[in-house]
Parts: sequence; structure tokens; C-alpha cells
Amino acid sequence: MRLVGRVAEAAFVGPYAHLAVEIPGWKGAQSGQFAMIQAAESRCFLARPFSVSDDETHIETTPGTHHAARVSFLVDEVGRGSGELAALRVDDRVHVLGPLGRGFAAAGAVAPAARRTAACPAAGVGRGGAGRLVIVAGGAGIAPLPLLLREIESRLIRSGVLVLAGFRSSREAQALCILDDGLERLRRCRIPSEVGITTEDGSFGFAGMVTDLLDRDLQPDDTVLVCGPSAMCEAVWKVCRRHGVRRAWFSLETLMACGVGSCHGCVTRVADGTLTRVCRRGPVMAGEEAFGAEEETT
Amino acid sequence: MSSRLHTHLGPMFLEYPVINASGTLDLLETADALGLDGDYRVPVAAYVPKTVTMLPREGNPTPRVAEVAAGMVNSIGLPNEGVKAFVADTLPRLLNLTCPLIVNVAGFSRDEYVSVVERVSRALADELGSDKGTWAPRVGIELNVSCPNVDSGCMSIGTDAEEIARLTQAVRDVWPTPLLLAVKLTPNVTDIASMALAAEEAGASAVSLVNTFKGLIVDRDTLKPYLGGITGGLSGPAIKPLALRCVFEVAAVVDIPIIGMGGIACTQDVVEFMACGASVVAVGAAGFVDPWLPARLAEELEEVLCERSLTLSELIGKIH
Repeated sequence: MRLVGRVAEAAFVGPYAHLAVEIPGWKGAQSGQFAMIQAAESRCFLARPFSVSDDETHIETTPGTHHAARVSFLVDEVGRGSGELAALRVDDRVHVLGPLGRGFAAAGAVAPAARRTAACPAAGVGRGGAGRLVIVAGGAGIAPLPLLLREIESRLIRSGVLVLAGFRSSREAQALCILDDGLERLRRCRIPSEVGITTEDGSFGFAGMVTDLLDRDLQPDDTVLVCGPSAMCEAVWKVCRRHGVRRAWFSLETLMACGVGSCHGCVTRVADGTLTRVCRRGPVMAGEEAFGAEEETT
Repeated sequence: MSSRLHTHLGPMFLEYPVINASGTLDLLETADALGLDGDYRVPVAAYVPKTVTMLPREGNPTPRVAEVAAGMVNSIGLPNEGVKAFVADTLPRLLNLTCPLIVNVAGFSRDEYVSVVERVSRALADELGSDKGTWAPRVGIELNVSCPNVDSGCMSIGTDAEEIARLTQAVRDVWPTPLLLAVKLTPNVTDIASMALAAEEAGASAVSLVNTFKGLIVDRDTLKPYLGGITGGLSGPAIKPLALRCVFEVAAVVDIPIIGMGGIACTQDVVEFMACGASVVAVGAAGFVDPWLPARLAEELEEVLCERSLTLSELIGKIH
């Protein structure tokens, strides 16, 4: 059912609007899942898909007691719908349909989520051997990372976590602040983590593309999780292939009218040649599933 | 839902007079996407799945949808699994739903429509028994002669009254009375009433109107057509007055029930369509925003009927 949320916090991080929304009835999301959201007083006809950025639904303060569902979204203002959302203020209402789609865990990228607690969790075992988890984000593709970091927190990633985030400018890179809490929690749980930043204009971090950093450092046994523009995703997959990385998952972005499989508007051509609904088979897909496994000749 | 809303569509009993427009609600996918278990309450009084064609179809190139003021334009192009997979995989699941089913069929020739309906009939005989009379309350057929997003068949039939009559008659031969046979009409004609009359005289038991209005989106940067299919179909609140006019004109000339649709997004829209002569209404594009809208509108319709001290049958055609 479509839910009604209340904006509890609204702030800009660089050019992006960061909304924390209290959503009664929200079931709790996995990282990589999305929701169709629309300002309650909207002049747009359709809702828009946004990655769930963070979800504090399942955090228990004392056993059996839940916070009110509080779900964050990072809104990149690209048109009218996102513009309305970016202009929301505290106490404004939003319509929410979700969580939707296949997140990183359901796609097989990380082990299924264990119940999270506010206390530092007991160490679990990372899936897929000793390789690092390399998270690659481009621009507003940083959105799902706070929830992803929560999921990583509940597992022991022995060889640690490398976050690579690429932006056009230092202004966009201000969005990194949404990772502060998650990275701090990883440190407290003694999960080794590193962050590498690139900007295209060189105004912050390494000057260049995020794929340049990835290319320098990628190891064949790394697991790579990616969220960003399509062109970046395809470029990252090429780097992965070149380094012999087979475990890579991508959160794909397309236009969607419904988000639940009805409209067939969000289809994309995947490696098996079919046009597939990103909202149902994705948005997270394995690299081989989305882009194919042909060896790079370059 | 209250008995005040109970109604019939031909041989079908409907708990309330609100259904979905074909292609705008995939109930099975939506339930799965929302994590609903098997016994959820379906949000429609009868369910109309996406158009089925003889062969599987991939649909049109992307982009396929664009939002416009008060609506959207789509060029989806009838992607579907084809009738063979439909009867094997999907139909049995749809027959398990708690509401009647109206299978929407399209073809690229008259024979193709007939073949698809025959295939569905054979599958129904396996599922429900060979006595077609017993199917009538549970399953109907809607002929899509109005999709603007394919090259042949569909709208090329729906813009020609004689073709509509020939097709309706041919399908009636294999899908006999009292089974529900609805013909879904296109508004992209000069005189929609004559199309509806042709369907009625050829044996249709209902007409559905309207499908989308043919439109075009121009890419603001390249100044080329934006949609992969070049043209598309306009739907949403933008078309409501146009659709109301169509229902109004058709209701003046036919006696069979009208399934009214075209931009329905709120209860007042439902009331207006019924006042113009629709016995049943269908939610289309607005269901993309809220899949549970049809049932909610029905609940609100009941309140309106109470407030206005009207029965459903008093509301239907009140404008005339």
C-alpha cells in the first residue's frame, strides 16, 4: 500500500537535498532497494524512484522496542519531481511506495541481513572469501551507502572496506558527510575501512575519475558494489573485467513510472539480450547479468 | 464493500464498479514487489491483465514513458509473454484471484484475435470445465482494438466501424453469449459513437472507452521525437474531459454497459464518468502512482452515494 511519510529533517549536502522521512507502516529496506516518492502536494503526475539512503527502522534500543520508521533519501534535483522533493521542509508530507526492488543482499552481493542492533554486533563471517568489499559511488550514487555500511557493520569483512566516491566538484563531494556515522561505526567495530575521493575538476581529493582510482588498486578477489550513472557503471565493469574481478554488482538507474512491474517503462537491455524491467529484476544486478562477460580486448 | 456498490457487468457480478485499465496494473508483479502474501485483498472488482497476443512481444524501444502536464505519454508496445505462456503460466494464477478476470486480447489480424481467444478458451475448458455457461461470472474477454503503439492490427481495426463489426462477430463465434465480450475503443476517431454501435450490433456485451490519445513528445535538447516508438499514447487527468465526452456520446446510442476510463484519479472523476453513462469505471495511469487506488475510490464512492442519496443505478447516466 502507498504510505504517507512526514519529513523529519530536510537539509542540503552540497547540491543534494537530504530528507529524513518518518514513514508509519514502512517495512524496512535493504541497501540498494528504492521507493517511489512524491510530494503530497505535487504538481507532477507520477512519483519518482529514489534509492533508500538510510533506514533506521530495525534498530532496537532495547529488545522489542522499535524506533518509528525513519528513512532517508538523497535527492539530486534534475527535474520537476525531484525539484519538488528537494524543496520540501520539515513536517511536509510525502507519498511513499516501497521498499521496492532487489537490493545488494537479495542480488547475492552481501550475505542476507542479520537483525541489526544498536550495540556493536557480534562478528560474523563475510561472504565470498577474504577479498575486500570495494564500494564505488558516482555523484548522487552515494545515496545507498549509509544503509550499505550498516549492513557491512553486522558482518566481519576481514580484509576491510574500501569506499571510492567520484564527484564532479568539491561542492558535490560535500555529500560525503552522509557517510560519517557509518564509517565511524565501522571503526568502532574494528572493521578496517578506507575512503578515496575523486573530483573531475580536481577541487577535492584525487583529480580524475573514480575509475582511475579503482584501476590502481583493484584486486581479483575483491567484491565490488557500484551505484552511479550508467556510463560510470559500464566503465567500472570494464575495469573489473580487466582485473579479473568476477564479483561485481551494480545498482542500475532508469526512468520508472510505477516501480512495481506494471508499466514496463523502466526496461533496459541486459546481457542475455532481453529487455528486462529494472524495477523487478534490479535495480541491483550482477555485472555479468547486466553487462555480459565478454573478455575485454583492450 | 457495502451492498450499495454491488453491480453487474454483463454476466459478471462485481463487488463494486471500479476495475483497472489493461496494462496499468500487473497484480501478480505488484503483489510480489510489495511483499504481499497470497491472501491479500485485490484492489479491483475485476482484474484486466496486460494485453495478450499470439506470439511473445518484446515491446517498443526505450525510452517508453514521459510525464507531461497532468499525465503521461507511453509507447510501451504491448510487450507480453504470448498466449502459449500466458495460458500455461499466468492464467491459472489469475483464476485463483478472488475477483473475476477480463482477459485483454490483441492481434495483428482478425484471425490472430480469434486464435488467441480460442487458445484462452481451450485453457479455460481445462481449468473450469467445458460448460462455457459456468465461466460467465468468472471470465470475460476484452478486445484491444485501440492500442496506438503498434504498426498493424489494434488501432487500425478500431478506427474502422466495419472492421470492428467483423472482428467482434468473428470472436463472438468462438466466445459465445452469455460470456462477457467487451470491445475497447480508441478515441482517435471522428465519431466514437458509431464505433461503439458497430461493436454492439456485432454482438459485444460491453464497450470500454477510452484507450489513450495518440501524442508526441519532443526531446527538448535534440528537438527529435523523444520516445523510442516515435509517437505514444496520452493518458492521465489531461484526457479526462475528452474521455467524458466520448462516454457521453456513446451512452446516448448504445444499450450495452460502458466501462468508462480516461484520466480517472479521484472519486469525483468516478462520479462524473458514471453520470455520463459508464456502468463501471477503470483506473488507468493513476494506478501507476497508487496501485490500490481503485478499491479506495470505490470506498469513497459509497460515501458520495450516501451524501447525495443516490443509488448506483440512479447515478449511471444521470446527465442524460
